[in-house]
Amino acid sequence: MNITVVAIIAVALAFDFFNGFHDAANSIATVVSTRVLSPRLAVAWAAFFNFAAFLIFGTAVASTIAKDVVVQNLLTNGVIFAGLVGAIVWDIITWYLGLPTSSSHALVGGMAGAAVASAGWKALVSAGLQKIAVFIVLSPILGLLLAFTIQVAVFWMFHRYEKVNKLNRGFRKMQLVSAAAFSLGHGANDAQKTMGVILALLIANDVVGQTASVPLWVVLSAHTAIGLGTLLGGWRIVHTMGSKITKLNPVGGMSAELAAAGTLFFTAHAGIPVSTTHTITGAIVGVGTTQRLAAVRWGVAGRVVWAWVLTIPGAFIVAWLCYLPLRGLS
Amino acid sequence: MIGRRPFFFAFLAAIALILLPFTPSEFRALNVFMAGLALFWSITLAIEELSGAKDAKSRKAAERGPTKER
Repeated sequence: MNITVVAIIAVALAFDFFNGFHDAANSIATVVSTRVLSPRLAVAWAAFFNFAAFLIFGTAVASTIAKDVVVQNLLTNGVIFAGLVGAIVWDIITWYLGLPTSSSHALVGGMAGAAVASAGWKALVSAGLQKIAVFIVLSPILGLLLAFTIQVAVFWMFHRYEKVNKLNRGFRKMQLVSAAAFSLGHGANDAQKTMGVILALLIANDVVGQTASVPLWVVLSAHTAIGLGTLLGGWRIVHTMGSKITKLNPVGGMSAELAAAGTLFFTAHAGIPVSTTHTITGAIVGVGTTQRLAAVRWGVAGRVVWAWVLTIPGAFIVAWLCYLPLRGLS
Repeated sequence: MIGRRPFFFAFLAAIALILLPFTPSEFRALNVFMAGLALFWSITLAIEELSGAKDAKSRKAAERGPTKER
């Protein structure tokens, strides 16, 4: 492994760290906003389960990122580096603007932009990109529908129960379980994207074979980076996710997290890179919809949707521009 | 009078069905499941809102009392 490869791996892990930092709010927004855990404890709880995800899930998402976005033999060090830089720059811009956008789609857009700058449109794998694009829309809707269904089921089961305080205590405890499940899904999905980038890099430099699976050291380092990012993470934007979209109580928080976790488990198993941000936002909207549509602040949700729409083209353009001075690396 | 929620869920069902041809074949069952679930909630909410409106109307009529006394 030469120094360039080591440097790009460091950038990929930095992206993973920043992903954890940026998305920590998604994992813990509901437990903090419902006061089940203090922000510090919630962050530690989420970081632990982010890391533990590698014990449960495979590496199907990593394979999709490594092999189904850009044609493998056109992936070079320069393309991967410019793709990562494009994604990081886009993440920083949206973080500065306070928009909960998807680091995952920034990564896909970045890789695609750098690849097109390098080899033209033929560098893209249309089937893989189509799968990712379809699930940009489907994953938040699935989260929404599952959250609505879980919330209504809970209401049906407990609407005659009179000891409301005892019931709330029970749901607060359940929220610890649901937050852990969501953090597992987050770790599984987002850490795997970095694994995919590192795997692509190792294949491009003949460190591993074309059909190789993700080496264990890559799995461990990616999960460590996202766990550390979450631990030191940006719980300052918890408020945006936890209460600006709709007001949550312990039951609603639990329903939203279980629904989002179910969606992420499915997509991690199926190898589809989706956004954890999209999924939990959809689930929170689903919980709000059980009251009435007006309980959801559609202005905030609409702003988030615009940020989603712009993420792939935005990261694409930034990475495309970044690649131009980096042609020498390839 | 039907509120906005049944239409919202019907809209979600429509999106899941519109995306069906673009979804890879191995995941199309998910689109169908989502469309089915959204339609179920759309119909359930419509029935609930219609019966709620009917109940409210009969409650109001009962509160007003009989219109003619014989």
